[in-house]
Amino acid sequence: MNDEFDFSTGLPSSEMSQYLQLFLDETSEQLDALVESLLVLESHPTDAEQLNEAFRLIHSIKGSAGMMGLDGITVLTHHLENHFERLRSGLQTLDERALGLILRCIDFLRECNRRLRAGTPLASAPELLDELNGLAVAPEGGLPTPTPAAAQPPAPSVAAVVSSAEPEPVVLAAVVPAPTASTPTGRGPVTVASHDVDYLIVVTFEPELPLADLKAELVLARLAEIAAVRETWPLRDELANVSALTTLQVLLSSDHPETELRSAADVDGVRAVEAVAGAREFLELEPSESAEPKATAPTAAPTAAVAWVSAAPQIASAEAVTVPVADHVEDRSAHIAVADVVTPTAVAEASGAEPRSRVAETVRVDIGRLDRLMNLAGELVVNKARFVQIARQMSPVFKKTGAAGRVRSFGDSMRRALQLMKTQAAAHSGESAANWDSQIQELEAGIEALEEQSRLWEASRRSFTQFHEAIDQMSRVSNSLQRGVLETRMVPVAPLFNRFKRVVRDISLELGKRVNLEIHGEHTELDKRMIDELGDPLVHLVRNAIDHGIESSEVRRRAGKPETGAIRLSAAHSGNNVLISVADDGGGIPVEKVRRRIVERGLVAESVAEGLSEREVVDFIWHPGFSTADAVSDISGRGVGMDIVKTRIAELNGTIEIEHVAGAGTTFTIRLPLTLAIIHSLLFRLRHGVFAVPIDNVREIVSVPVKQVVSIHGRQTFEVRGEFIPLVDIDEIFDWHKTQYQYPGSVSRTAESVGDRWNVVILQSSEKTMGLKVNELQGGQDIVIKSLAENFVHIRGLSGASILGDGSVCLLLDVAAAIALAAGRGKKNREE
Amino acid sequence: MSSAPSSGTAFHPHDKERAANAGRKTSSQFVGFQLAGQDYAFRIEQIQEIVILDKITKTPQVPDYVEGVCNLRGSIIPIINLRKLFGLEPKPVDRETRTIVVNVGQRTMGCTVDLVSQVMRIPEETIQPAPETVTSNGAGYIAGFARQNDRLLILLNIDELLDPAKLDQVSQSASAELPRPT
Repeated sequence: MNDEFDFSTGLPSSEMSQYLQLFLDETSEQLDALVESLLVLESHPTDAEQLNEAFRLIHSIKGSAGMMGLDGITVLTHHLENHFERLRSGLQTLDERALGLILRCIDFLRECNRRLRAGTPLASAPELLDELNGLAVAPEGGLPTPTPAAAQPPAPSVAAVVSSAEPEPVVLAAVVPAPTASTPTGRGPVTVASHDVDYLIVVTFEPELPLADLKAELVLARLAEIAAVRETWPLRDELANVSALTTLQVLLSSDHPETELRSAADVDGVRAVEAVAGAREFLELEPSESAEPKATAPTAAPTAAVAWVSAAPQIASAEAVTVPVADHVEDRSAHIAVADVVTPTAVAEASGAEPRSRVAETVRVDIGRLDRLMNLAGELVVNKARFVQIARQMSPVFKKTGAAGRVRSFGDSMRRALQLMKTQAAAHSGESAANWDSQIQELEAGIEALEEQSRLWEASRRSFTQFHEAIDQMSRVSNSLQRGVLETRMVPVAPLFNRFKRVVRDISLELGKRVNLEIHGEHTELDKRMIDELGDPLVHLVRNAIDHGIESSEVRRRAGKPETGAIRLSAAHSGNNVLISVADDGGGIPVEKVRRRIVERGLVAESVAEGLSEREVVDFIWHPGFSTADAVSDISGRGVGMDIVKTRIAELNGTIEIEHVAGAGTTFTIRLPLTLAIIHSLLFRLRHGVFAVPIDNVREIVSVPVKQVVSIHGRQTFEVRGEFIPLVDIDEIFDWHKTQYQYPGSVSRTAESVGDRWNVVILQSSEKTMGLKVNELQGGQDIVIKSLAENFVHIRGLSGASILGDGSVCLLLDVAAAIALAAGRGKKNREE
Repeated sequence: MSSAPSSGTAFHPHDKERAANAGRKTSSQFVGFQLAGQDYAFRIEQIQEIVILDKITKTPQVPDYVEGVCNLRGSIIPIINLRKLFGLEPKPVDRETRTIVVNVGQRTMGCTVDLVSQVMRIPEETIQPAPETVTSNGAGYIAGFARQNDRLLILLNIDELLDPAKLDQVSQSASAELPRPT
């Protein structure tokens, strides 16, 4: 079969997919960030910082899409970028139409990502492009292309930008005359849009220079210190991919003299540096781009405005534009002129100080690797437990210091006895003396061997002490390792929550309801996998809250509530749990309506429904196929969802509870373990082996006298401090098939009461309580949860399994499901 | 893909060589095992290892052919008793009992068998497809039959046999369809 083996699936494709993965991860983060910016812009359309941020994000998506050769995305983002350029330059303001369109573009880009992930071909979106182009000629007073920005700058909007950051009367006065000072060529003063001069730097590397791309990076880094690098050829991101890099062209603008630029670019391995000033003229770039490099800094707006001031006199006096190689002395004078006008701080900030806050350094890791690491760390903890167990078994032997002393004194007394024998033997003679001698020698050898053993034993005892210390050390290390690995999986819920800004906006627009989203505790950390799984359930809950929870503004007004409804999304730690809640200030759950509905749906008979408590009625919300919406809306009301939410949460070993106050709102609280991987549990032995339950589900452990157990309708019940609690055996929860195989290591003991008492673990989930008879309690332990579904199927009533110190598997009880199972079986038994 | 020369033509030595080569190319390796005296085989590609288990944790709420779960170097894998799956009389674990660990899609599962006989190479052309009457009755897990030293070997398709979603169906159809030693 070897010769049939197919080796054709080689590296290149997997390498590509590796980049693709990176691209997808990055862009989806950037798209999320972009949506956030847009949502801020929705209420503050001229927020320069957010405009710049959005521009930067789009620009970088464009860049990476270009790198990946994804032309469709590149074209769309290019148009988006253009539009943002117009917004940034104040030519247009972000209106609702544009915002909607941009959001649709983002959806399209998300769809692209999804398709790329799924490996399906990308769709095209010509209509989005058309609409984007349509925006360019929007009646905002702007012009089709950004090029003539200088010729007809809409003075009010420039003023607005300037006034937003330290208005400078002199500057404002100067802005208006600026366009009139345009050069006769009609190109406008844009070519020298600031006191900075544009240069084209051409760096020629020595032929066959090793690591030329790194050299190029170095050159760029050095230049970036004294200049604003605008464009490079080859593109910076592609440097590494260019084979035999010989030249690097850099378009930049700087207020430093050309000589400084030259020397910055002249690093080891560079053969020649050429610098051409006023290079913009040659390259014919969009003039508005001149503001770009520094525009990422929040202070960009005032500098740009200042630039207009300085530009006018400069063009008028020296013909720097028409002369390709500008004399840098000219430039210096311009610089001084500017310095007169601009406040000193503005200059400092303009010349490259980075006010942007540093983002923590991160490494992207495939979650599969973390899972493997987690498994290994878990195994290490299991192995450690095994060591501890072995040491515990050995310690009675070694820990008794008295024993060694006794052996030694025993040896000594033997020696004395031997000595005595020797002296007595000396009194004898002849044959009996020889006999004595041989006996004495034998005894002497025996004593020596004994002493030798005793010494060895003493040495082992010392080694054991060291062994014990080593195990302690290992315990600490393996525990910290495990904790460390766990922590690597913990991520803040912020990105998950932030998605809801958009969700809430879209749904509330669609339903015509006014809803505000409040987010609390977004820094709470949760296992990454859990965050991934939580998205859908939360969307369901939020949709339900807006659709069913929040009333129409009219109803709200009549009820004396603010017309705008509120949805609160919050996360918080609570002991070993994370609580995530979705709360609304709507009308609460209409209990009577639900009661009618469950009868209509035939879920229970009318007579039964009458007798249900409010809580029991509300619990029907989780019933599959239940829905109370008067009209089936596009968003919710199809009667699927809530049961799925519950199942999903249960799969994460979590629970979900509802609290509601009629007329004041509903709160859904999801309680999740801190991590999917480790749960602090109580271990106990049952007839079928060792089981674990999360310690959070254990209310208490009691010893119940057999005669205090009362049987009501065939169900056992016992009383704890006045409360009657059902008492069940594991066989009343689960079906076990008869065991016919006996594996050597499997032990099967019958669970019986100890003497005349039962050991009972009282389990609790939500409001429900149940006592479970156990054979033997084994104490608390952190267990590493493994999924049963990973290799097999999900078993109802079990939330997973774990490996114990002796290598055997223990099953983890899902208490909520187990209580439900026990109740169900009890019902069935009664019916039979 | 029969490469046997048609009868009547001259049998050239090269033909023989070619036939032999072709035979080698299209033969596959199988791991043979027994259940109640009947020989079965799995393709070797999906077999991860063969182990002797001593500790199995029984799981509730599962059909009887699921022995339980066990710990295979940190992974928890289910153990399927093939005898019970096929509706055969169960047999106590003895010195020859083995668990074959196989890969079923993304899953790793174990199945216990009476004994593992050998690894063998079977030329593809000697494999007879399972009669349609057998496979149409939901016994798609039978990949074919082969003769090995005068013994009938049933080749099983692991994906069809042990996929958790198909186990019940296998269990139902197995008792009726598999040849039984008399």
